Amino acid sequence: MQSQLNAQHTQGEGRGRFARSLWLPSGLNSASAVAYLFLAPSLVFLAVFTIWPIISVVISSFHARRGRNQIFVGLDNFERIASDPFSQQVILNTVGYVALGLVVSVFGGLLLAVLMNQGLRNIGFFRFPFLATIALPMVSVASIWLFLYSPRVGLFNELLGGLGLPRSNWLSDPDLALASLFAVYLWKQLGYFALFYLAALQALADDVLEAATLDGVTFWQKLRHIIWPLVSPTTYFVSTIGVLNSLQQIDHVFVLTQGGPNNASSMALFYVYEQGFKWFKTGIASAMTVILLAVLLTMAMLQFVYLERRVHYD
Amino acid sequence: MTANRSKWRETLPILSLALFGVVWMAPLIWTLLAAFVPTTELLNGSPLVWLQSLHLGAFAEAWEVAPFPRFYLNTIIWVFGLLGLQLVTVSLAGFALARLDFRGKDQIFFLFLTQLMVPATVLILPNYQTLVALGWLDSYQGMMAPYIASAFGTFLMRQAFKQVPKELEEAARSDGANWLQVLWHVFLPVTRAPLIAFSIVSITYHWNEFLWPLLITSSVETRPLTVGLALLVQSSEIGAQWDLLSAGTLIVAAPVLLLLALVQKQFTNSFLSSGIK
Repeated sequence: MQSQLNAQHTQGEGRGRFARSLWLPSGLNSASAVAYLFLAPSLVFLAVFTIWPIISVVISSFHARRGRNQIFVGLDNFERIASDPFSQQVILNTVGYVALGLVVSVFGGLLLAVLMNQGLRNIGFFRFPFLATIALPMVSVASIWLFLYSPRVGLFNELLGGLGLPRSNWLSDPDLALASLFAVYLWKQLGYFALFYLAALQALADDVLEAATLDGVTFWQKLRHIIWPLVSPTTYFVSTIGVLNSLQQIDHVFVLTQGGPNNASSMALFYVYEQGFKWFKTGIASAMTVILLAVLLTMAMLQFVYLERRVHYD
Repeated sequence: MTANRSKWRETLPILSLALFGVVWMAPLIWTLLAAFVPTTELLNGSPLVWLQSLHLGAFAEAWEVAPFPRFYLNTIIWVFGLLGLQLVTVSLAGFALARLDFRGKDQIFFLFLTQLMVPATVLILPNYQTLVALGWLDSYQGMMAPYIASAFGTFLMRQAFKQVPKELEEAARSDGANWLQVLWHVFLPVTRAPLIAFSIVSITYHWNEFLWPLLITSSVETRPLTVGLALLVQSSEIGAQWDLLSAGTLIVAAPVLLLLALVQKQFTNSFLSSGIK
């Protein structure tokens, strides 16, 4: 009914400047038919490249290759991941890296934003380095740091040597490799997290912060008791994207360490790549993907609960 | 005494920020130097020697060693081709979700939400298998496919379209315009800002993307810059030629840095809107 009305209306007597150039068959002018048509391109790609892969990876996480066939092995892949020291180390690395990433993105991001907000808010010059690292490809960033970390000619060892301190093998020392990767990540992403805090700080009323300064409150007291509670929605948001970011960004692992030495700097997504694409252990790689999916969905759920509780946020 | 203290209080944050800035700038400047100054001079000489030995040789050599012109072309095709497709899909879908009534809206909304929760990076393995089945390996469309539907873009446009006054839409409708015409003539002209914000995020994100193109591409004809650079870094013959690697790094990063320098404010705002991405 509605569609007929619309169709008649459009075809009508040919009045109005749009009537002559009909772009759609007239029958498709009912709102819901148009809506489905408009959504179709997105839905097709969502179905094939977001929904289907989630289903298919869950299925293949319960299978393993035997010769040419995929056979059902139940939870075998997950048990292997849980019991193999190699993958245990990967999980440990990932948890440590992500946890540290969370802490540093929140506290480092806030600190940097507070500093940026101190009377320098209009000086783009001070922001450029932090924005530049956000904009750079991780592969470029990693190449830069490969040079900085170089044992013989790298900037870090030159500086240490200049100070008379012992030099380090930043990327090939098992105790340092993961930390070295983390430093690269931090350098690249800290500005990104600071941006969100900076926006939150600038949305706060100036007099709140100024009043606190006048009353002789110290910098730390102000940060702890005034700023920190006021920016708590941002803190929640930054922790979420902090976890997502640190789980996803592994380009530097490729360029700098390839997960080595001896698996010391491998992480979950890199493990998926190695198992799935280097050794063709699709079942194991799928199981690790499913573990990652579980983490992501749990986080999304927590976020949902949090947003439900804070009705006036957003 | 108190005057001193308050002066200190004012300068301390500025000093700390400056220190932060120097630490953040140092690697960038070092790379610039390394690309323009031969490595021997860089390591042994003084800044005066560096100035005297500035040259563009490393860029010329990097340009020779790897097919960077082709990599540039590949990156431009895949990044801007994808952006073109995304602008169509997110405008259409955002419009439907913002302005049209239809059954199953909540369910469809949830489908988009799933993509926000589960980024494509995590799904490399099953998506690779899908591309194998479609015969899309080593192709531009294969690189683009997982990103053509964009929940982030759709939600951004939905939000923007919701704020367009109802009267504008009704005026065009009573003029006999169909919904596609309403979207094109009424809604898109007034939502340029979010379209640009989305474009900046999309361009930066995909220009920089590495893992997915690495898996998908296997020939010079499709490989983007990031993959080309990583292969250059790992190739053993030039492994320790730092001037060459620094030049290569700058070749890859220059357009993004240029974009940032030109539209710093716009860039900041776009990334603020990017959230989960």
